[in-house]
Amino acid sequence: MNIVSFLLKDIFRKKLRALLTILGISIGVCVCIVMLGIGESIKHSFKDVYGKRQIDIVIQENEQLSILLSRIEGNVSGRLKQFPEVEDAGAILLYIHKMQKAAVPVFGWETGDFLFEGVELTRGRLPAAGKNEVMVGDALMRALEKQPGQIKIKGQVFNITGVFKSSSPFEQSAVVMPLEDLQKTLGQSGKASFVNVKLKPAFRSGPAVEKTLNEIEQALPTVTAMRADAFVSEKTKFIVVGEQFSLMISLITIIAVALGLANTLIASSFEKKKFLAILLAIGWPKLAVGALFICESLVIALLGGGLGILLGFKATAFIFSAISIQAFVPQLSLVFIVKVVAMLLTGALFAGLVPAWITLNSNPVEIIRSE
Amino acid sequence: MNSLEPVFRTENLSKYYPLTQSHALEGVSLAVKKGEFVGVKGPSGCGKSTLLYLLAGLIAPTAGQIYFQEKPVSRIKDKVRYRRENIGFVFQDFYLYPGFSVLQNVLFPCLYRGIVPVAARIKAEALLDELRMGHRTGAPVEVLSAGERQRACIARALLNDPECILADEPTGNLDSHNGQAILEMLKKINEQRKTTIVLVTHDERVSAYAHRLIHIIDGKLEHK
Repeated sequence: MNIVSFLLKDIFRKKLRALLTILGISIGVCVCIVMLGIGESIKHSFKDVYGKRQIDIVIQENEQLSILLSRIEGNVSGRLKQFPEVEDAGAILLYIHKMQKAAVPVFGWETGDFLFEGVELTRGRLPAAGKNEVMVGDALMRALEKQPGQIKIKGQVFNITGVFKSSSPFEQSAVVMPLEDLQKTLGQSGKASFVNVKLKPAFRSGPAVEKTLNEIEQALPTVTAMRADAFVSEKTKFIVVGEQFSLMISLITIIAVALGLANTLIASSFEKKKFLAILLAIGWPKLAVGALFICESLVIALLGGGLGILLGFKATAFIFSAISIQAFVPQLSLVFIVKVVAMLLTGALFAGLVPAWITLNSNPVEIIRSE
Repeated sequence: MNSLEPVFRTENLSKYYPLTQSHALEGVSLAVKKGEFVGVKGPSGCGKSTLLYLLAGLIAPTAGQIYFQEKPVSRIKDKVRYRRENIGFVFQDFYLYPGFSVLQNVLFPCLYRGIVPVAARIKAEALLDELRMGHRTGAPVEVLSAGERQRACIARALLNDPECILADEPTGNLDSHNGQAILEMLKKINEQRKTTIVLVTHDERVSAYAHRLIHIIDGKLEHK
Protein backbone atom coordinates (compact mmCIF):
# COMPACT_ATOMS: atom_id res chain seq x y z
CA MET A 1 0.00 0.00 0.00
CA ASN A 2 1.23 3.47 -0.77
CA ILE A 3 -0.30 6.91 -0.44
CA VAL A 4 -1.52 7.03 -4.05
CA SER A 5 -3.30 3.66 -3.86
CA PHE A 6 -4.73 4.74 -0.51
CA LEU A 7 -5.98 8.01 -1.98
CA LEU A 8 -7.47 6.36 -5.07
CA LYS A 9 -9.26 3.81 -2.92
CA ASP A 10 -10.41 6.49 -0.52
CA ILE A 11 -11.67 8.74 -3.33
CA PHE A 12 -13.66 5.90 -4.93
CA ARG A 13 -15.10 4.72 -1.61
CA LYS A 14 -17.97 7.07 -2.47
CA LYS A 15 -18.20 6.22 -6.13
CA LEU A 16 -21.05 8.49 -7.16
CA ARG A 17 -19.57 11.52 -5.43
CA ALA A 18 -16.14 10.80 -6.88
CA LEU A 19 -17.52 10.37 -10.38
CA LEU A 20 -19.64 13.52 -10.18
CA THR A 21 -16.68 15.52 -8.87
CA ILE A 22 -14.37 14.18 -11.58
CA LEU A 23 -17.03 14.82 -14.21
CA GLY A 24 -17.47 18.39 -12.96
CA ILE A 25 -13.72 19.01 -13.18
CA SER A 26 -13.48 17.38 -16.58
CA ILE A 27 -16.27 19.60 -17.94
CA GLY A 28 -14.46 22.64 -16.54
CA VAL A 29 -11.18 21.56 -18.14
CA CYS A 30 -13.03 20.73 -21.36
CA VAL A 31 -14.39 24.30 -21.43
CA CYS A 32 -10.87 25.66 -20.95
CA ILE A 33 -9.45 23.43 -23.67
CA VAL A 34 -12.19 24.46 -26.10
CA MET A 35 -11.98 28.16 -25.21
CA LEU A 36 -8.21 28.32 -25.45
CA GLY A 37 -7.72 25.42 -27.83
CA ILE A 38 -9.61 26.78 -30.81
CA GLY A 39 -7.39 29.85 -31.04
CA GLU A 40 -4.32 27.72 -30.34
CA SER A 41 -5.22 25.27 -33.09
CA ILE A 42 -5.89 27.98 -35.67
CA LYS A 43 -2.61 29.70 -34.78
CA HIS A 44 -0.81 26.38 -35.12
CA SER A 45 -2.37 25.79 -38.51
CA PHE A 46 -1.28 29.23 -39.72
CA LYS A 47 2.23 28.61 -38.48
CA ASP A 48 2.31 25.18 -40.12
CA VAL A 49 1.54 26.63 -43.54
CA TYR A 50 4.64 28.76 -43.36
CA GLY A 51 6.88 26.66 -41.16
CA LYS A 52 6.50 23.38 -43.02
CA ARG A 53 7.03 25.02 -46.42
CA GLN A 54 10.01 26.99 -45.12
CA ILE A 55 8.50 30.29 -46.30
CA ASP A 56 10.61 33.16 -44.99
CA ILE A 57 8.94 36.28 -46.33
CA VAL A 58 5.41 37.24 -47.32
CA ILE A 59 4.72 40.16 -49.64
CA GLN A 60 1.36 41.91 -49.62
CA GLU A 61 -0.14 45.24 -50.63
CA ASN A 62 1.20 48.23 -48.76
CA GLU A 63 -0.93 49.39 -45.81
CA GLN A 64 -3.56 46.75 -46.41
CA LEU A 65 -4.84 45.11 -43.23
CA SER A 66 -6.85 42.29 -44.80
CA ILE A 67 -5.12 39.69 -46.85
CA LEU A 68 -8.42 39.14 -48.67
CA LEU A 69 -8.41 42.71 -49.89
CA SER A 70 -4.70 42.88 -50.60
CA ARG A 71 -3.96 43.17 -54.31
CA ILE A 72 -0.51 43.27 -55.86
CA GLU A 73 0.73 42.61 -59.34
CA GLY A 74 1.08 38.88 -59.89
CA ASN A 75 4.32 39.35 -61.81
CA VAL A 76 5.97 40.55 -58.58
CA SER A 77 6.93 36.94 -58.02
CA GLY A 78 8.94 36.96 -61.22
CA ARG A 79 10.78 40.10 -60.13
CA LEU A 80 11.45 38.62 -56.71
CA LYS A 81 13.01 35.53 -58.23
CA GLN A 82 15.65 37.86 -59.71
CA PHE A 83 16.91 38.74 -56.22
CA PRO A 84 20.14 36.84 -55.49
CA GLU A 85 18.86 35.92 -52.00
CA VAL A 86 15.59 34.40 -53.25
CA GLU A 87 15.35 30.70 -53.92
CA ASP A 88 11.74 30.72 -55.03
CA ALA A 89 8.62 32.89 -54.97
CA GLY A 90 4.98 32.14 -55.69
CA ALA A 91 2.06 34.53 -56.16
CA ILE A 92 -1.26 33.53 -54.66
CA LEU A 93 -4.72 34.90 -55.25
CA LEU A 94 -7.18 34.18 -52.49
CA TYR A 95 -10.93 34.29 -52.66
CA ILE A 96 -13.47 33.04 -50.11
CA HIS A 97 -16.34 31.22 -51.75
CA LYS A 98 -19.66 30.53 -50.04
CA MET A 99 -20.56 26.93 -50.51
CA GLN A 100 -23.43 25.21 -48.67
CA LYS A 101 -23.30 27.84 -45.89
CA ALA A 102 -19.57 27.20 -45.42
CA ALA A 103 -16.74 29.54 -46.27
CA VAL A 104 -14.38 27.73 -48.63
CA PRO A 105 -11.01 29.29 -49.47
CA VAL A 106 -10.23 29.25 -53.18
CA PHE A 107 -6.53 29.60 -54.00
CA GLY A 108 -5.02 30.51 -57.30
CA TRP A 109 -1.45 29.18 -57.47
CA GLU A 110 1.07 29.87 -60.19
CA THR A 111 1.78 26.87 -62.39
CA GLY A 112 4.91 25.18 -61.13
CA ASP A 113 4.69 27.04 -57.81
CA PHE A 114 6.64 25.37 -54.99
CA LEU A 115 3.36 25.26 -53.03
CA PHE A 116 2.37 22.28 -55.19
CA GLU A 117 5.27 20.38 -53.63
CA GLY A 118 3.57 20.67 -50.24
CA VAL A 119 0.45 18.79 -51.26
CA GLU A 120 -0.02 15.12 -51.93
CA LEU A 121 -2.43 14.11 -54.63
CA THR A 122 -4.51 11.23 -53.33
CA ARG A 123 -6.68 10.98 -56.43
CA GLY A 124 -6.51 12.25 -60.00
CA ARG A 125 -4.05 14.82 -61.32
CA LEU A 126 -3.09 18.48 -61.00
CA PRO A 127 -5.38 21.01 -62.71
CA ALA A 128 -4.13 22.37 -66.03
CA ALA A 129 -4.28 26.10 -66.79
CA GLY A 130 -6.93 27.44 -69.14
CA LYS A 131 -9.12 24.34 -68.92
CA ASN A 132 -11.40 25.28 -66.02
CA GLU A 133 -9.90 22.62 -63.80
CA VAL A 134 -9.46 22.57 -60.03
CA MET A 135 -8.24 20.24 -57.35
CA VAL A 136 -9.84 20.13 -53.91
CA GLY A 137 -8.61 19.32 -50.43
CA ASP A 138 -9.78 15.95 -49.14
CA ALA A 139 -11.50 17.49 -46.11
CA LEU A 140 -13.60 19.63 -48.41
CA MET A 141 -14.29 16.60 -50.54
CA ARG A 142 -15.50 14.68 -47.49
CA ALA A 143 -17.61 17.61 -46.34
CA LEU A 144 -19.20 17.94 -49.75
CA GLU A 145 -19.64 14.17 -49.90
CA LYS A 146 -18.62 14.43 -53.53
CA GLN A 147 -16.88 12.17 -55.91
CA PRO A 148 -14.51 14.03 -58.23
CA GLY A 149 -16.87 15.83 -60.53
CA GLN A 150 -17.66 19.47 -60.93
CA ILE A 151 -17.81 22.52 -58.75
CA LYS A 152 -19.33 25.95 -59.45
CA ILE A 153 -17.43 29.09 -58.47
CA LYS A 154 -18.68 32.58 -59.36
CA GLY A 155 -21.11 31.01 -61.82
CA GLN A 156 -18.30 29.19 -63.61
CA VAL A 157 -18.26 25.37 -63.66
CA PHE A 158 -14.91 23.74 -62.93
CA ASN A 159 -13.95 20.09 -63.33
CA ILE A 160 -12.40 18.51 -60.27
CA THR A 161 -9.33 16.72 -61.59
CA GLY A 162 -7.75 15.74 -58.30
CA VAL A 163 -8.05 15.47 -54.56
CA PHE A 164 -5.12 16.38 -52.36
CA LYS A 165 -3.89 16.23 -48.82
CA SER A 166 -1.95 19.10 -47.31
CA SER A 167 -0.19 19.78 -44.05
CA SER A 168 -2.24 22.96 -43.85
CA PRO A 169 -5.80 22.61 -42.56
CA PHE A 170 -6.72 25.75 -44.58
CA GLU A 171 -5.69 24.03 -47.78
CA GLN A 172 -7.34 20.75 -46.76
CA SER A 173 -10.66 22.60 -46.90
CA ALA A 174 -9.80 24.58 -50.00
CA VAL A 175 -10.12 24.61 -53.76
CA VAL A 176 -6.89 25.18 -55.70
CA MET A 177 -6.75 26.20 -59.32
CA PRO A 178 -4.13 27.76 -61.61
CA LEU A 179 -3.58 31.43 -60.78
CA GLU A 180 -4.59 32.77 -64.19
CA ASP A 181 -7.89 30.84 -64.09
CA LEU A 182 -8.87 32.38 -60.76
CA GLN A 183 -7.75 35.84 -61.96
CA LYS A 184 -10.01 35.38 -64.98
CA THR A 185 -12.94 34.10 -62.89
CA LEU A 186 -12.69 37.02 -60.48
CA GLY A 187 -12.06 39.54 -63.25
CA GLN A 188 -8.73 40.47 -61.68
CA SER A 189 -6.32 39.76 -64.42
CA GLY A 190 -2.63 39.90 -63.44
CA LYS A 191 -3.44 40.35 -59.75
CA ALA A 192 -2.43 38.37 -56.68
CA SER A 193 -3.29 38.66 -52.97
CA PHE A 194 0.21 37.98 -51.70
CA VAL A 195 3.49 36.35 -52.60
CA ASN A 196 5.33 33.70 -50.58
CA VAL A 197 9.10 33.93 -50.74
CA LYS A 198 11.61 31.22 -49.92
CA LEU A 199 15.16 32.40 -49.32
CA LYS A 200 18.31 30.53 -50.12
CA PRO A 201 19.74 28.76 -47.04
CA ALA A 202 22.64 31.23 -46.77
CA PHE A 203 20.19 34.14 -46.36
CA ARG A 204 17.76 32.64 -43.85
CA SER A 205 19.47 34.00 -40.72
CA GLY A 206 17.88 36.97 -38.89
CA PRO A 207 20.07 39.89 -40.13
CA ALA A 208 20.14 38.53 -43.70
CA VAL A 209 16.34 38.29 -43.77
CA GLU A 210 16.04 41.88 -42.49
CA LYS A 211 18.42 43.06 -45.21
CA THR A 212 16.42 41.24 -47.89
CA LEU A 213 13.17 42.76 -46.56
CA ASN A 214 14.62 46.23 -46.95
CA GLU A 215 15.91 45.49 -50.43
CA ILE A 216 12.48 44.20 -51.52
CA GLU A 217 10.64 47.23 -50.10
CA GLN A 218 13.09 49.58 -51.79
CA ALA A 219 12.74 47.83 -55.13
CA LEU A 220 8.96 47.43 -54.89
CA PRO A 221 7.57 50.49 -53.07
CA THR A 222 3.88 49.46 -53.40
CA VAL A 223 4.32 46.31 -51.31
CA THR A 224 5.01 45.46 -47.72
CA ALA A 225 7.50 42.67 -47.08
CA MET A 226 7.17 40.88 -43.76
CA ARG A 227 8.93 38.00 -42.10
CA ALA A 228 6.63 34.97 -42.28
CA ASP A 229 6.41 34.67 -38.48
CA ALA A 230 5.50 38.37 -38.14
CA PHE A 231 2.90 37.90 -40.88
CA VAL A 232 1.39 34.94 -38.96
CA SER A 233 1.35 36.96 -35.74
CA GLU A 234 -0.38 39.87 -37.45
CA LYS A 235 -2.94 37.68 -39.17
CA THR A 236 -3.71 35.91 -35.90
CA LYS A 237 -4.06 39.11 -33.86
CA PHE A 238 -7.80 38.59 -33.65
CA ILE A 239 -7.07 35.19 -32.11
CA VAL A 240 -4.81 36.76 -29.48
CA VAL A 241 -7.60 39.13 -28.44
CA GLY A 242 -9.97 36.16 -28.34
CA GLU A 243 -7.39 34.23 -26.37
CA GLN A 244 -7.26 36.86 -23.64
CA PHE A 245 -11.02 36.69 -23.35
CA SER A 246 -10.87 32.89 -23.37
CA LEU A 247 -8.18 32.97 -20.69
CA MET A 248 -10.43 35.09 -18.46
CA ILE A 249 -13.34 32.69 -18.94
CA SER A 250 -11.03 29.73 -18.34
CA LEU A 251 -9.70 31.23 -15.12
CA ILE A 252 -13.23 31.82 -13.89
CA THR A 253 -14.10 28.24 -14.82
CA ILE A 254 -11.08 26.91 -12.94
CA ILE A 255 -12.01 28.98 -9.88
CA ALA A 256 -15.53 27.52 -10.02
CA VAL A 257 -14.04 24.03 -10.37
CA ALA A 258 -11.69 24.66 -7.43
CA LEU A 259 -14.56 25.91 -5.24
CA GLY A 260 -16.60 22.81 -6.10
CA LEU A 261 -13.62 20.61 -5.32
CA ALA A 262 -12.98 22.42 -2.04
CA ASN A 263 -16.62 21.93 -1.10
CA THR A 264 -16.40 18.19 -1.82
CA LEU A 265 -13.17 17.86 0.15
CA ILE A 266 -14.54 19.78 3.11
CA ALA A 267 -17.63 17.52 3.15
CA SER A 268 -15.28 14.55 2.93
CA SER A 269 -13.10 15.90 5.76
CA PHE A 270 -16.13 16.21 8.05
CA GLU A 271 -17.14 12.66 7.24
CA LYS A 272 -13.77 11.26 8.12
CA LYS A 273 -12.80 13.65 10.88
CA LYS A 274 -12.75 10.84 13.48
CA PHE A 275 -10.44 8.79 11.31
CA LEU A 276 -8.18 11.81 10.84
CA ALA A 277 -8.19 12.42 14.58
CA ILE A 278 -7.13 8.81 15.07
CA LEU A 279 -4.33 9.22 12.54
CA LEU A 280 -3.12 12.19 14.59
CA ALA A 281 -3.44 10.18 17.79
CA ILE A 282 -1.46 7.21 16.44
CA GLY A 283 1.43 9.36 15.36
CA TRP A 284 0.73 10.91 11.98
CA PRO A 285 2.25 14.37 11.81
CA LYS A 286 -0.36 17.09 11.33
CA LEU A 287 1.36 18.14 8.14
CA ALA A 288 1.02 14.60 6.74
CA VAL A 289 -2.70 14.58 7.55
CA GLY A 290 -3.07 18.02 5.95
CA ALA A 291 -1.07 16.86 2.94
CA LEU A 292 -3.58 14.01 2.51
CA PHE A 293 -6.19 16.57 1.46
CA ILE A 294 -3.84 18.36 -0.88
CA CYS A 295 -2.80 15.06 -2.47
CA GLU A 296 -6.45 13.94 -2.65
CA SER A 297 -7.35 17.20 -4.32
CA LEU A 298 -4.47 16.89 -6.80
CA VAL A 299 -5.33 13.26 -7.61
CA ILE A 300 -9.00 14.12 -8.24
CA ALA A 301 -7.93 17.11 -10.32
CA LEU A 302 -5.55 14.99 -12.39
CA LEU A 303 -8.23 12.38 -13.01
CA GLY A 304 -10.76 15.05 -13.96
CA GLY A 305 -8.12 16.95 -15.90
CA GLY A 306 -7.11 13.91 -17.94
CA LEU A 307 -10.72 13.20 -18.83
CA GLY A 308 -11.30 16.90 -19.50
CA ILE A 309 -8.37 17.09 -21.93
CA LEU A 310 -9.77 14.14 -23.90
CA LEU A 311 -13.24 15.68 -23.88
CA GLY A 312 -11.72 19.01 -24.88
CA PHE A 313 -9.99 17.47 -27.90
CA LYS A 314 -13.23 15.83 -28.99
CA ALA A 315 -15.28 18.97 -28.39
CA THR A 316 -12.80 21.16 -30.29
CA ALA A 317 -12.83 18.72 -33.22
CA PHE A 318 -16.64 18.70 -33.08
CA ILE A 319 -16.77 22.49 -33.12
CA PHE A 320 -14.37 22.68 -36.08
CA SER A 321 -16.50 20.10 -37.83
CA ALA A 322 -19.74 21.92 -36.98
CA ILE A 323 -18.46 25.16 -38.50
CA SER A 324 -17.43 23.34 -41.66
CA ILE A 325 -13.71 23.57 -41.30
CA GLN A 326 -13.33 19.84 -40.95
CA ALA A 327 -9.68 19.95 -41.85
CA PHE A 328 -8.85 21.69 -38.59
CA VAL A 329 -7.81 19.22 -36.00
CA PRO A 330 -7.16 20.25 -32.42
CA GLN A 331 -3.42 20.85 -32.38
CA LEU A 332 -2.86 21.40 -28.73
CA SER A 333 0.80 21.69 -27.95
CA LEU A 334 2.37 20.16 -24.88
CA VAL A 335 3.04 23.66 -23.57
CA PHE A 336 -0.64 24.51 -23.94
CA ILE A 337 -1.74 21.35 -22.09
CA VAL A 338 0.84 21.99 -19.38
CA LYS A 339 -0.62 25.51 -18.99
CA VAL A 340 -4.17 24.20 -18.56
CA VAL A 341 -3.02 21.44 -16.17
CA ALA A 342 -0.96 23.98 -14.19
CA MET A 343 -4.02 26.23 -13.87
CA LEU A 344 -6.08 23.26 -12.74
CA LEU A 345 -3.50 22.00 -10.25
CA THR A 346 -3.12 25.49 -8.78
CA GLY A 347 -6.89 25.55 -8.29
CA ALA A 348 -6.78 22.05 -6.79
CA LEU A 349 -3.95 23.05 -4.48
CA PHE A 350 -6.04 25.88 -3.06
CA ALA A 351 -9.06 23.56 -2.88
CA GLY A 352 -7.03 21.08 -0.82
CA LEU A 353 -5.61 23.79 1.42
CA VAL A 354 -9.02 24.62 2.89
CA PRO A 355 -9.74 21.21 4.52
CA ALA A 356 -6.02 20.82 5.26
CA TRP A 357 -6.10 24.10 7.18
CA ILE A 358 -9.25 23.01 9.04
CA THR A 359 -7.53 19.74 10.00
CA LEU A 360 -4.31 21.44 11.02
CA ASN A 361 -6.28 23.65 13.36
CA SER A 362 -8.31 20.85 14.90
CA ASN A 363 -7.60 19.11 18.16
CA PRO A 364 -7.90 15.32 17.84
CA VAL A 365 -9.03 15.00 21.44
CA GLU A 366 -11.89 17.43 20.88
CA ILE A 367 -12.94 15.42 17.82
CA ILE A 368 -12.73 12.10 19.67
CA ARG A 369 -14.61 13.54 22.67
CA SER A 370 -17.25 15.18 20.48
CA GLU A 371 -19.45 12.07 20.34
CA MET B 1 15.42 0.81 32.17
CA ASN B 2 14.54 -1.82 34.75
CA SER B 3 11.04 -3.02 35.48
CA LEU B 4 10.84 -1.03 38.72
CA GLU B 5 11.29 2.29 37.01
CA PRO B 6 8.03 3.96 36.06
CA VAL B 7 7.10 4.31 32.41
CA PHE B 8 4.72 7.08 33.39
CA ARG B 9 4.75 9.24 36.46
CA THR B 10 2.47 12.17 37.12
CA GLU B 11 2.81 14.87 39.73
CA ASN B 12 -0.23 16.88 40.82
CA LEU B 13 -1.70 16.53 37.37
CA SER B 14 -4.69 18.77 36.68
CA LYS B 15 -6.75 19.43 33.62
CA TYR B 16 -9.40 22.10 33.30
CA TYR B 17 -11.62 22.36 30.20
CA PRO B 18 -12.55 26.04 29.85
CA LEU B 19 -15.23 25.32 27.26
CA THR B 20 -17.25 23.13 29.61
CA GLN B 21 -15.80 24.86 32.69
CA SER B 22 -15.03 21.50 34.22
CA HIS B 23 -12.06 20.16 36.16
CA ALA B 24 -11.47 16.79 34.50
CA LEU B 25 -8.48 15.97 36.72
CA GLU B 26 -7.28 17.59 39.92
CA GLY B 27 -3.91 16.94 41.53
CA VAL B 28 -3.45 13.39 40.29
CA SER B 29 -0.12 11.82 41.18
CA LEU B 30 0.55 8.29 40.11
CA ALA B 31 3.19 6.03 38.64
CA VAL B 32 2.91 3.17 36.18
CA LYS B 33 5.86 0.80 36.13
CA LYS B 34 7.29 -0.84 33.06
CA GLY B 35 5.41 -4.02 32.21
CA GLU B 36 2.52 -3.16 34.51
CA PHE B 37 -1.11 -3.72 33.58
CA VAL B 38 -3.03 -0.94 35.29
CA GLY B 39 -6.79 -0.64 35.23
CA VAL B 40 -8.27 2.84 35.66
CA LYS B 41 -11.83 2.76 36.91
CA GLY B 42 -14.36 5.37 37.74
CA PRO B 43 -17.78 6.70 36.74
CA SER B 44 -18.43 8.37 33.38
CA GLY B 45 -16.95 11.85 33.11
CA CYS B 46 -14.58 11.36 36.04
CA GLY B 47 -11.51 12.14 33.92
CA LYS B 48 -10.30 8.65 33.03
CA SER B 49 -10.01 9.29 29.28
CA THR B 50 -8.47 12.72 29.93
CA LEU B 51 -5.73 10.93 31.87
CA LEU B 52 -4.96 8.80 28.79
CA TYR B 53 -4.88 11.82 26.47
CA LEU B 54 -2.55 13.61 28.86
CA LEU B 55 -0.22 10.61 29.07
CA ALA B 56 -0.17 10.45 25.26
CA GLY B 57 0.71 14.13 25.02
CA LEU B 58 -2.40 14.81 22.96
CA ILE B 59 -3.40 17.56 25.37
CA ALA B 60 -1.37 19.61 27.81
CA PRO B 61 -2.12 19.64 31.53
CA THR B 62 -3.40 22.81 33.15
CA ALA B 63 -1.06 22.15 36.06
CA GLY B 64 1.35 19.47 37.18
CA GLN B 65 3.81 17.37 35.28
CA ILE B 66 3.88 14.09 33.37
CA TYR B 67 7.07 12.08 33.04
CA PHE B 68 7.66 9.39 30.46
CA GLN B 69 10.61 7.23 31.46
CA GLU B 70 11.45 10.07 33.84
CA LYS B 71 11.56 12.69 31.07
CA PRO B 72 8.99 15.47 31.29
CA VAL B 73 6.50 15.02 28.45
CA SER B 74 6.07 18.81 28.31
CA ARG B 75 9.70 19.07 27.20
CA ILE B 76 9.34 16.55 24.39
CA LYS B 77 9.33 18.73 21.29
CA ASP B 78 8.21 16.11 18.80
CA LYS B 79 5.11 14.75 20.53
CA VAL B 80 3.95 13.10 17.32
CA ARG B 81 7.10 10.99 17.24
CA TYR B 82 6.78 10.33 20.96
CA ARG B 83 3.30 8.90 20.40
CA ARG B 84 4.28 7.02 17.28
CA GLU B 85 7.26 5.31 18.86
CA ASN B 86 6.02 4.75 22.39
CA ILE B 87 2.27 4.59 22.52
CA GLY B 88 -0.39 2.40 20.99
CA PHE B 89 -4.02 3.45 21.26
CA VAL B 90 -7.05 1.16 21.54
CA PHE B 91 -10.45 2.86 21.49
CA GLN B 92 -13.91 1.81 22.50
CA ASP B 93 -15.29 2.75 19.04
CA PHE B 94 -12.45 1.01 17.16
CA TYR B 95 -12.12 3.85 14.60
CA LEU B 96 -11.26 1.55 11.74
CA TYR B 97 -11.55 3.15 8.33
CA PRO B 98 -14.37 1.66 6.26
CA GLY B 99 -13.68 0.65 2.69
CA PHE B 100 -10.25 -0.66 3.60
CA SER B 101 -9.18 -4.15 4.59
CA VAL B 102 -8.13 -5.28 8.04
CA LEU B 103 -4.48 -5.40 6.96
CA GLN B 104 -4.62 -1.91 5.43
CA ASN B 105 -6.16 -0.53 8.63
CA VAL B 106 -3.43 -2.14 10.71
CA LEU B 107 -0.82 -0.58 8.43
CA PHE B 108 -2.18 2.99 8.66
CA PRO B 109 0.33 4.05 11.36
CA CYS B 110 3.14 3.50 8.80
CA LEU B 111 1.48 5.14 5.82
CA TYR B 112 2.36 8.71 6.78
CA ARG B 113 5.73 8.20 5.09
CA GLY B 114 3.90 7.73 1.78
CA ILE B 115 4.73 4.06 1.40
CA VAL B 116 4.35 1.07 3.68
CA PRO B 117 7.63 -0.82 4.06
CA VAL B 118 7.50 -4.54 3.26
CA ALA B 119 8.79 -5.29 6.75
CA ALA B 120 5.77 -3.49 8.27
CA ARG B 121 3.42 -5.54 6.13
CA ILE B 122 5.07 -8.80 7.22
CA LYS B 123 4.89 -7.65 10.82
CA ALA B 124 1.23 -6.66 10.52
CA GLU B 125 0.37 -10.06 9.09
CA ALA B 126 2.22 -11.75 11.92
CA LEU B 127 0.39 -9.60 14.47
CA LEU B 128 -2.97 -10.44 12.94
CA ASP B 129 -2.03 -14.13 13.03
CA GLU B 130 -1.06 -13.78 16.67
CA LEU B 131 -4.41 -12.14 17.43
CA ARG B 132 -6.26 -14.93 15.57
CA MET B 133 -7.16 -12.59 12.71
CA GLY B 134 -4.88 -14.17 10.11
CA HIS B 135 -7.86 -15.45 8.14
CA ARG B 136 -9.42 -11.98 7.99
CA THR B 137 -6.50 -9.86 6.72
CA GLY B 138 -8.12 -9.12 3.37
CA ALA B 139 -11.65 -8.66 4.69
CA PRO B 140 -13.16 -5.17 4.62
CA VAL B 141 -13.52 -3.91 8.18
CA GLU B 142 -17.26 -3.40 7.70
CA VAL B 143 -17.89 -7.15 7.68
CA LEU B 144 -16.02 -7.82 10.93
CA SER B 145 -17.75 -8.62 14.20
CA ALA B 146 -17.20 -6.19 17.07
CA GLY B 147 -14.68 -8.55 18.66
CA GLU B 148 -12.76 -8.87 15.42
CA ARG B 149 -12.74 -5.10 14.99
CA GLN B 150 -11.23 -4.64 18.43
CA ARG B 151 -8.57 -7.24 17.67
CA ALA B 152 -7.73 -5.36 14.48
CA CYS B 153 -7.41 -2.21 16.60
CA ILE B 154 -5.05 -3.97 18.98
CA ALA B 155 -2.93 -5.13 16.03
CA ARG B 156 -2.83 -1.52 14.77
CA ALA B 157 -1.75 -0.35 18.24
CA LEU B 158 1.04 -2.93 18.36
CA LEU B 159 2.47 -2.28 14.89
CA ASN B 160 5.13 0.16 16.06
CA ASP B 161 6.13 -1.98 19.09
CA PRO B 162 4.99 0.64 21.59
CA GLU B 163 6.32 0.79 25.12
CA CYS B 164 2.78 1.23 26.33
CA ILE B 165 -0.79 0.61 25.20
CA LEU B 166 -3.39 3.13 26.28
CA ALA B 167 -6.79 1.47 26.02
CA ASP B 168 -9.92 3.58 26.38
CA GLU B 169 -12.89 1.38 27.25
CA PRO B 170 -11.79 -1.39 24.86
CA THR B 171 -14.60 -3.70 25.99
CA GLY B 172 -17.28 -1.00 26.07
CA ASN B 173 -18.84 -1.98 22.75
CA LEU B 174 -18.40 -5.72 23.11
CA ASP B 175 -20.62 -8.45 24.48
CA SER B 176 -19.38 -10.22 27.57
CA HIS B 177 -17.78 -13.10 25.66
CA ASN B 178 -15.86 -10.85 23.29
CA GLY B 179 -15.04 -8.43 26.10
CA GLN B 180 -13.44 -11.23 28.08
CA ALA B 181 -11.53 -12.41 25.00
CA ILE B 182 -10.10 -8.90 24.50
CA LEU B 183 -9.06 -8.62 28.16
CA GLU B 184 -7.36 -12.01 27.89
CA MET B 185 -5.61 -10.89 24.74
CA LEU B 186 -4.35 -7.68 26.39
CA LYS B 187 -3.18 -9.69 29.36
CA LYS B 188 -1.29 -12.06 27.06
CA ILE B 189 0.34 -9.11 25.26
CA ASN B 190 1.30 -7.64 28.62
CA GLU B 191 2.85 -10.90 29.79
CA GLN B 192 4.55 -11.99 26.59
CA ARG B 193 5.69 -8.65 25.19
CA LYS B 194 6.10 -6.89 28.52
CA THR B 195 4.07 -4.04 27.05
CA THR B 196 2.81 -1.67 29.72
CA ILE B 197 -0.96 -1.33 29.58
CA VAL B 198 -3.11 1.44 31.00
CA LEU B 199 -6.71 0.44 30.54
CA VAL B 200 -9.62 2.75 31.29
CA THR B 201 -12.82 0.84 31.84
CA HIS B 202 -16.13 0.34 33.60
CA ASP B 203 -15.73 -3.38 33.17
CA GLU B 204 -15.68 -5.11 36.58
CA ARG B 205 -13.78 -8.09 35.14
CA VAL B 206 -10.67 -5.99 34.62
CA SER B 207 -9.63 -6.58 38.22
CA ALA B 208 -9.01 -10.20 37.28
CA TYR B 209 -6.51 -9.19 34.62
CA ALA B 210 -4.85 -5.97 35.81
CA HIS B 211 -1.98 -5.97 38.28
CA ARG B 212 -3.70 -3.13 40.10
CA LEU B 213 -6.60 -0.77 39.80
CA ILE B 214 -6.66 3.01 40.08
CA HIS B 215 -9.97 4.65 40.96
CA ILE B 216 -10.72 8.17 39.83
CA ILE B 217 -13.74 9.98 41.16
CA ASP B 218 -14.55 13.59 40.21
CA GLY B 219 -11.09 14.02 38.75
CA LYS B 220 -9.31 12.92 41.90
CA LEU B 221 -7.44 9.75 42.64
CA GLU B 222 -9.24 7.67 45.23
CA HIS B 223 -6.97 5.55 47.37
CA LYS B 224 -8.66 2.32 48.39
